[in-house]
Amino acid sequence: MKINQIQITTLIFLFIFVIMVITVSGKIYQTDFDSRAASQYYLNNGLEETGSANIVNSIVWDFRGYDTLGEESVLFIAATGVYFLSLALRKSIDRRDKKKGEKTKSKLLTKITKI
Amino acid sequence: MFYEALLIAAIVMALVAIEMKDLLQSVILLGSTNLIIAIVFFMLKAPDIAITQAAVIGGVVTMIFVVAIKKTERFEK
Amino acid sequence: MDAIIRTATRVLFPVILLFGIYISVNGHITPGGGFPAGVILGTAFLLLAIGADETSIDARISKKNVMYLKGSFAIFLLLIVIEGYIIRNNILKTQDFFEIWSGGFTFFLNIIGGFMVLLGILIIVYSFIMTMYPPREDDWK
Repeated sequence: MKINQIQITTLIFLFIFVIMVITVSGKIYQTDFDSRAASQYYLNNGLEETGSANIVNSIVWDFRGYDTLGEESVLFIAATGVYFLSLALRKSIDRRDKKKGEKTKSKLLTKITKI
Repeated sequence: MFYEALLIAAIVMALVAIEMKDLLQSVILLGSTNLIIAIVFFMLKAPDIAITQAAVIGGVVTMIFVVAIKKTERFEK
Repeated sequence: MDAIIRTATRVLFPVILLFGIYISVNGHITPGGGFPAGVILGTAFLLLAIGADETSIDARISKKNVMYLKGSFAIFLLLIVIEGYIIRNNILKTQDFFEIWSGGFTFFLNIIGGFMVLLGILIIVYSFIMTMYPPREDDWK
């Protein structure tokens, strides 16, 4: 089995990436209160600054709101991609029906309950 | 004890879902596996994620699987 | 067999819609929020797409209208985020929590976020159902 240069470089980069992830994640799961400053700030000042009793909602929509904005845009891009793929499928079926001159059995999806 | 029993049941259901010949039954077993995972999320005191998991799996993912089965064949050879 | 599904769809559709609106409006008191509310509303419309007639689905929802609505709501969301820099401290901030009129920004953002997720799932379900019809004139070319 031949191993060329591209596979070797990707394996090296993957190895370095895994080592970096393990090193960084060792700092997050510490349990003394001095190194969890961000979560303690959210717990203490979450109610006064936003006014909502649900701290998870105040973190997702108020303190880190821009991440939620990016996530919604990713959902919108996925929906647009699915729609244009289905449009291409419908156009190719329509073109095939017009070329043959008759309607082939192109009911791809009858009612879902009738499997 | 109840917590470990739920996790073992989820693993057993997922293993059974691979071996079935009828693809529609394996889709139902996958849905129930994720429902057990939603109950485990609730037992670990995270109610937001439990509601989201149950709604997504029960509504949209099952629909996509059933449509994919409908376009190919139902019984696996 | 079809009569059972049609009758059940007619009864269940407003109930699921009301449940989704409840989870999205009470997002700052009970667990829930924007994303599960949007998925539950999408489930209600998915039930409508399966249980009802095919021709009635084709006539009601046009693709251009859904895309324009989604674009306008995205612009509205950006306006709310920009407005947060201006009047952040003075909007809906009562000190007695566990009430409905007390969310601050999260009260508006939960409703709009749920609506955006509903439109996204509606586009995906619509694309799956409409593969058996040829493309219409008011779709994108």
